[in-house]
This record gives sequence, C-alpha cells and structure tokens, in this order.
Amino acid sequence: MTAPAPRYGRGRALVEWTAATARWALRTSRLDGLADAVARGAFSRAQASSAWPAAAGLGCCSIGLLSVAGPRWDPERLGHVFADAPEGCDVLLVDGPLTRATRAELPRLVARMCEPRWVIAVGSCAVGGGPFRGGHAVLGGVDQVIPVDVYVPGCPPSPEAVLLGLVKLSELIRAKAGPYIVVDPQEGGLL
Amino acid sequence: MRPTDAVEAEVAESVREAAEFLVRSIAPAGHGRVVAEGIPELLAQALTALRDKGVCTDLLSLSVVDLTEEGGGLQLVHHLVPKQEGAVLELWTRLTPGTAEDGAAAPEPVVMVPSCARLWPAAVWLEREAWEMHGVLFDGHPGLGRLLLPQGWVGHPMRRDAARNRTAMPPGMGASSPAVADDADGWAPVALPSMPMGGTMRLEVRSRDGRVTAARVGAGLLHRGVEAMAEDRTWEGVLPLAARAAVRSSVHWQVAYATAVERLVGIEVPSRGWALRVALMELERIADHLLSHATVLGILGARANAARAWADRELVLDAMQMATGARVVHDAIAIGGVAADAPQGWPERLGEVSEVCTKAVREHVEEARGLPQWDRLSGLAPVHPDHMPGWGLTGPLVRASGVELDARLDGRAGGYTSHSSKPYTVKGGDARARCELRLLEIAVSAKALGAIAASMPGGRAREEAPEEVPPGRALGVVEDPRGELHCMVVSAGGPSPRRVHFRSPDLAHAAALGEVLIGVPVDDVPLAVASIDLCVGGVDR
Repeated sequence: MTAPAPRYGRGRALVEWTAATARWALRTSRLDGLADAVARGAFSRAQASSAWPAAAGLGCCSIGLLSVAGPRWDPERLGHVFADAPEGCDVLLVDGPLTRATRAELPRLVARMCEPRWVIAVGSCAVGGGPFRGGHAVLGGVDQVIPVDVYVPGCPPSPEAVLLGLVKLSELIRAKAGPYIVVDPQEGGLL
Repeated sequence: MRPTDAVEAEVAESVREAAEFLVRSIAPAGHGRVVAEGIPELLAQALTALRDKGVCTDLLSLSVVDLTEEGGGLQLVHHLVPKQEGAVLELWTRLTPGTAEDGAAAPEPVVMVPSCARLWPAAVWLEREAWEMHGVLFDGHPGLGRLLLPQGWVGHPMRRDAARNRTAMPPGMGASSPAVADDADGWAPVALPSMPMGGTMRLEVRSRDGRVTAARVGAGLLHRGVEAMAEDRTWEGVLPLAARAAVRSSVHWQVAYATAVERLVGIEVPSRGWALRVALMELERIADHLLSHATVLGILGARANAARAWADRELVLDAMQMATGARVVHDAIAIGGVAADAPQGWPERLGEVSEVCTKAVREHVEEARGLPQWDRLSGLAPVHPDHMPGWGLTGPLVRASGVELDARLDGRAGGYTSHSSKPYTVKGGDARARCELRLLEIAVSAKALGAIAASMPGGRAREEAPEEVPPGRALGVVEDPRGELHCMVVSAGGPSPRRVHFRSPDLAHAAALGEVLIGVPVDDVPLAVASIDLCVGGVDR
C-alpha cells in the first residue's frame, strides 16, 4: 500500500491531503481504533459540557422552565444554552403528560432533533402521568413513546431540580450510562 | 360602585320585560348573578329576544351539565352579559332527550338544540366544545367539529351515561393531530415564538399582499380533561387540578373554584383570608404581566430588556415562594380561606415588592417606549368590543380600548371591595396600548399590595368548611390576569362535584384570533398573538 500522491495546493487541498495522509498513516500503523476512541471521547466531552436544551412545553411545568432558562438560574454558566427549536437542540425537556394528542406529536418532535439526542422528562406528568393520570385524554408518562434519559419528578420540580437533571445528563453523556432519576434538592424526596 | 342586589333586580326586570313568556322563571341569586330557567322549545326565540332588545350584549360561556342520575337530564347553561354592568345572567335550559342518531360516531342518544352562533360568534367554539364533550347537537352551527379532542374521537367523554370510561376508544387510538381542517390550499402555518416549539396552539393563515385575509386556530394539544377529572375528585381534591389547568394564573383558578364552593355551602372567608388571597392574586398578576412583557420584548429582539423583565419577575416569585413554597403552581388556596397562613415577615416583604415594582414599572415603560422597534406595535391588530360584539372579550384586551370592565371592581369577584379603585384603562386598543396597559396595571397591583401590607387584618385566615356540600349551583368570579374567569360548580350532594366548568378568558380570546388577525401583516402575526397574551392551558384545560 502506498501513500496518496502528494497534491500541493493552497487551503482546502492541503488540509484534505494532510487528513488523508493521517488516515493512511493511522490505518497502516493499526492505531485507527485508538484514534477513533480518542475522537469519540473528545466529542462526548464536548457534548456533555454544552448540551443545548429546548423545552417541548406540553404541560404546566413549562412556565417553571421559564425560570430555569432565565437570568436567575442562568444555565448558560453550565454550558446549557436554551434553543428555540428541536433542530438546534441536543436535549429535549419534555413536560406534561402523554395525551392522545401528544402521542403522535412527541416522537415527531424527537425525530426532528439531530443525533445524538437526549430527553429529560420534567415533572411528575411527563414521568408517569402525574395528577392527570386517569383522565380521558391522558395516557401516562412520555417514556411510552420516546426514550427518556433523565427523570425529574416534582409537581412542579424546582428550578434547582431541573438544573440538577441537566448536570446529571452531562455525567450520563460522559459515562455513556443509563437513565437517572433526580431527587429534588428543594423537596428532599421523590414526589 | 352600586350594590349588586340593585343591579340584579334591574337585570331580572329587564329580562322579564324582554322575554316575559319565553322563560319559565327568573330570580336574583346574589353576587351579581341572575338565574333564569328557559323553555327548550322557545330557547332560540328567548335568546334572540334578549339580544335584539339589547338586554344581553355578549355571551361569556356556554356549558352542559349532565344531571341524568338526578333525573334532571342534560341542562344547557348560557352565561350572558346584561347591559347593566356588574352582573351575569345564567340561563338554564333542560334539554329534552332525543333519539336522533349522530351517525356512527355517538353511542349515546343525542339532543338537538338551536345554535346561537348567529347571535354571538363566541358560541362557535363553545358549542363545538359542548358537542364534543356532551354530545349535544346544535342546529344551524357553521361547523360542528372536534375542538379540543383529536379528530376521529369516538364518543362524548363527559356524558355520565358513558359508563364512566368516558370514551369508547381503546388507549392506542386517537393518535391523530388536534383539530385543524385538512384542506391545505393557501393555508400557511405560523410559528409563535411566544410559545415553546413555535406554538402549543396551531395557527394557520391565508394571506394576500403580505396581509392576513383569514386565520384559523387549532387547539387541544394541551387538553387533559380537567373538568371531567374534577367530577371524580373530592371537593378539596379539585383544587390541585384547578391550579394546574392554566398555570400562569394558578392562584386565580383556585380562588375562582373555592369562591364558587364557598358560595354553595354558604361560608364567609375571614378578612385575613381574603387579604392573603388578594395579595397572592396581585403578585401573580404582576408576574404574569412581566412574563408577557418579556415575551413581547423577546419577539421584538430587545433581549437585554427582556432579561430585565425576567429578573424582575423572579423577585415577585420569591415573595410568592415565601408564602406558598412554590414559584409556579401554587397550591395555596383552601375552601374557606388559604391553605396556610402567611409566614412571619410576609407583609413587610409585600411592602418591599410593592416599592420595587412601582419603581421598576416606571423604568420598564420608559425603556420600552425608548426602543425603536416598540413602534412596530402601534396600530397592530386593533381590538375594540364595539367593532367585535359577541366575542366575549374581557380583561386587558378591552381595557386597552377604554372599556371600564373589571370584575374586581364591580362587586362580582370576592375580596376586592376594600382595595379597589377605578379600573385602569387606556385608549387605542392596538397592540401597543395592550402592552403598555399591562405594564401600567403592574403599578396598580403594586399599589394594592402596598395597601394590603400596610393594613393586614389579623385573626384567622381560614374558615372551617362543612363536610357536606348541599345540592345546588354557584358561580365564582375572579379577574384573571388575562380577563374574566368564571367557575360554575354544580353539586348533587355527593362527595364530589357533579360539574365544574371554567369559563376561561383564554378560550374566548383564542376563538376571536381568527377575526382579530385579519389585516395584520404576516410578519407581525406572532407579535400580535403575543400582545393578545394567551395561556394555552386555559384554552385547552
């Protein structure tokens, strides 16, 4: 196997040649697995320390989330900048119970997000139907139709609990671990 | 302010004059409420007479109460606005159960009544809700489709003869989108940045030359069936549902429900209880008006000003958290008063909030008027009740066009007599007038808070409520931050309410959007919607 023929040029051509040469060198030296792991780790760290959330706003907790996104709790200091649309976010904060109307909407909303993506269920409704469980329009928790990574119970959870959920999600992304249930620091127990 | 019993007698007299042989009975019922009993065969004539003779100017609410178990059949209830200020006319009509078939969709027998959408356009949405929840067919309705439930829903979930499963659908079904008609020609969806994900309420417009020629609204994404669930809860157990129905005004919804139950069982809330309730409601009004101000500023791109409004809102929420333990969703109200007395030092805190808000509002108004983009609101989506009669518009929306309508100040809402002043109004009626009026209302509320802080009554904050609630009907009225909120409660004497119906200002305003938005530049539609200020939870319940 031979190295690709050197193509001298300015700008992009040089970058492409360097990358191709590096790929060739890694492949021939059999270090590509290691490089892949390092790159993935770096991306994972980057994603963990700046996971951009967006709120689906399908329940009353969305008014509580306004405080989380606002200047008092300031999630941007933790790297979480609130996005306006699912296309621009990494984490979807889903609040409100699963209803017959949102049953079709929620998977569609999550499908609009880019991969990799995470979901936090905010509030007792999103976790398991909450106070509306048993209503004619309500089907229970949202994890019946979309995968949920962090559960933040509470009716509504305090802004601290939602922030803790975001922090825990960052840890999950770093550790590539399973779902996590937040205990509200203001309440001191599961609701 | 005139005494409400004089107003009630006057309303009863004018209804008697206009519709003498068209209603069975008419009697004042206290707290500005006049109750009439209609005759089903003559309902259309009665309503037409009341409207055409100028006795009733507007339709606030229309609901159905299912009293089949008590032998009362289905009752249709109209809440009408008489021309005399400070009263509401409640017209109860027992519907004759028919055997007409509602195609294959309705498993229960349905009844047919004349529609009043021709008299009051507000009835278009209200009758759609009455049909989908209770299966009452309205003759002459322009389009009796699902409003809050998904298209293709089978059954009428609030009928009590529906074997309590409330729907004939298996859980997996009903996954289609909420009600927006299917034809796509010319309709373009509009994203609403004032709501998460571009709108928890769908809005579609048709336009020509950049201006809206028609608009339609799809509601129901947040519908949880709060009113249906209330029929299975205890009397106290409805309070948490009321707080979570429209969470931007959770205290107001709880007070509306609690007031209705108190009027039903006949207990008086102690003056300290009312002072604490009013303080919480005014705090919530300030927080809510700051929220809508911040939203409008966000759409205008004034992010620094918006951040300032968000930060000021947190100060108000701090004061609420001190009393209720929560920043939003305050489970603070109990039947008979407040759930817990205020902590030590709360009146002083109220005084501080009052001072801070008074100062901040002056700065907010100055800063907003100094923004070059604030002029975008001038002349945008003007609303005047005289040009839009019959839509049931209330609250800041009409006070911004000079109409002196405020349930706090005409004796219908409880608790406000000692803190009241003249309703604050401005002229203009456009988006700018609405946004500035809300800011000025913050100052009025802050003043009221200062008055409460200075003279907080002592004694108990809660009157013990009796265990049993007698059979009967009552109406609780509050002035929500966005308009008039009524809660009608019907008791059959059992451990749970037979019917709880919330008349939310948001439903009326969302229904009127299709009319208000006509002529608005398409680019300014989100701004116009934000200036009207809707809480979608209040629409969908």
